[in-house]
Amino acid sequence: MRKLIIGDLDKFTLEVNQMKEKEDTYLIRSLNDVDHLVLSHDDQVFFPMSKLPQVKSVDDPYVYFDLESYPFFQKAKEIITSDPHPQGVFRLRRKTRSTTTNDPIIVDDLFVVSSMFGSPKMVYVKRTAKDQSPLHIIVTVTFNCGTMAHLDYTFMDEEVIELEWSGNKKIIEFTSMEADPFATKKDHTLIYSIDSVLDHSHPVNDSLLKRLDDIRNLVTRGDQR
Amino acid sequence: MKIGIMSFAHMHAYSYSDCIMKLPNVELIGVFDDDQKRGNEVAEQYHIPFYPDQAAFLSEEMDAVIICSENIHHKEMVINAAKAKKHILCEKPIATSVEDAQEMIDICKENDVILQIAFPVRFSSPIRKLKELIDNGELGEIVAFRTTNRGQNPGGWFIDEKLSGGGAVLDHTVHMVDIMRWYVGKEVTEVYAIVDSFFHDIPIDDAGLVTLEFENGVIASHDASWSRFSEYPTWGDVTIEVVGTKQTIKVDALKEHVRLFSSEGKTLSHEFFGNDMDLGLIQDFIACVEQGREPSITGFDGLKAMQVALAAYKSSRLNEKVMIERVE
Repeated sequence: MRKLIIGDLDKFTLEVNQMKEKEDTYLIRSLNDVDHLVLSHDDQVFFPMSKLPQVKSVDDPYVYFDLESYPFFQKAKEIITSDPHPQGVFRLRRKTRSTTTNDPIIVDDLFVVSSMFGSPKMVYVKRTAKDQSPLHIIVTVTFNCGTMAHLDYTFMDEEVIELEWSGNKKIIEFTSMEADPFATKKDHTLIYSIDSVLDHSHPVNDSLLKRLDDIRNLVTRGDQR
Repeated sequence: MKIGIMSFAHMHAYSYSDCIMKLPNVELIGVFDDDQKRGNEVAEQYHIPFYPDQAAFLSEEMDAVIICSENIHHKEMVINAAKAKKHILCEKPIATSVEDAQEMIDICKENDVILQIAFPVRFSSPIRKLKELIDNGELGEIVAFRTTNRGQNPGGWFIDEKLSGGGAVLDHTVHMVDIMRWYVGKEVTEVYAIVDSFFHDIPIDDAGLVTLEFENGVIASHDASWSRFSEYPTWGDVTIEVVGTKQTIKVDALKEHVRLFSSEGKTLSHEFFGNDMDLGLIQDFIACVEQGREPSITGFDGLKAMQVALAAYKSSRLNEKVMIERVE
């Protein structure tokens, strides 16, 4: 059975201790990128969330989320969810090159953050004027568990993620720039591992699409509050 | 110049007194405190007389007072000091209601005394440098702010709402709202906030996320909390990120530190070597009194910052955004 991961090749790293069998895993830019590619029923195809509209072309597709694919996020999640009822203040800050209509990244991030805190109860969205550059959006979220969150986005020519958690006797601080093991201008932190993508991808089914729709509706309502 | 201190209830009184002791031509002439034990202790520490009676203290010859009482007593002390013709540096928040703050401002004006509010963050070197960059147009137009002010639970009267008027959100929102107002030169018009208590078993808020909009469309997110515990490498933080049309700059007022690792007690602590912002505040207040000029941080500045913090509580209670009333 082949595993085909669709994605930006520059975003991936081959880890020294990669666990998945390499022989059957292929990293490709798109399904059209490979000549004579014939998909079999056994193939598993993993799409980034940005390519969700394309998943109809394959059987039983999977999607992976940007935030969820980063090893730093998995580490933070492991620490936060070591408390079965995490309550506190969660903050996520992105400077992003995302140029789509800007809301998908918010919905995607909220979906991923919800994997730690459960469903969002209330979302409030504040954005700068449409004609202003850079566009900046602040999303304020209350989760059903009581945790509160701020997600700040600046849409600009940079990729930076900061994550903070203030919990009960536990504080997490992460900045992609500071966690980079290489002291160069290129950021080596915001890259996926193949293992992480394979481990944290989601089958595209009605349940996933409904959860995404629910979050999208909350964000839309949060814009109008 | 002669300065007296009214109450050492707020721990900043110790820092301000230390600053005064360092300055030439400024004399700390005494302390009034309604807590007799505390008053006697600080009198002994600073070798100054203790006045258990407020009227007797204010009848002494002095140019100015610094008020560091519980928040709820700011109003009474400011009014009494103003009537005694003493210039005033009042610890933040100015008061616990807009009406009280306005009355304090009016009475100081009637008595022709200076009312300055203690927002020492304005005297942090990196915070001032960022102000300079903004004023020079190096960031372009300001689009958004992202700020934090998080510290440890101070306990004592701070967690008694009858004396403090509010918890972490009141304590740690006013500083950064003041800085944002100072940077952008506009007023906050809209507040949405979530206020809660997570970190301590206390009957008052210790966490809050505040989302703001200014009258010119600038938006801001602010994290105010008492979420830092004693094992954290420093007491807390003061940070601001300014998103501008030309560039984005983040400033951490406490970034200038060396990391100290130790096998005893705290394994890591940040030893700050930046400038002393409390000293900057006191020097500015003294210069202001000497020169008889308008204070750099007015009672109105204090009122507007407090108004936003109070609106945050209201927004959280109502679970909706709150519009800020104009105060002229």
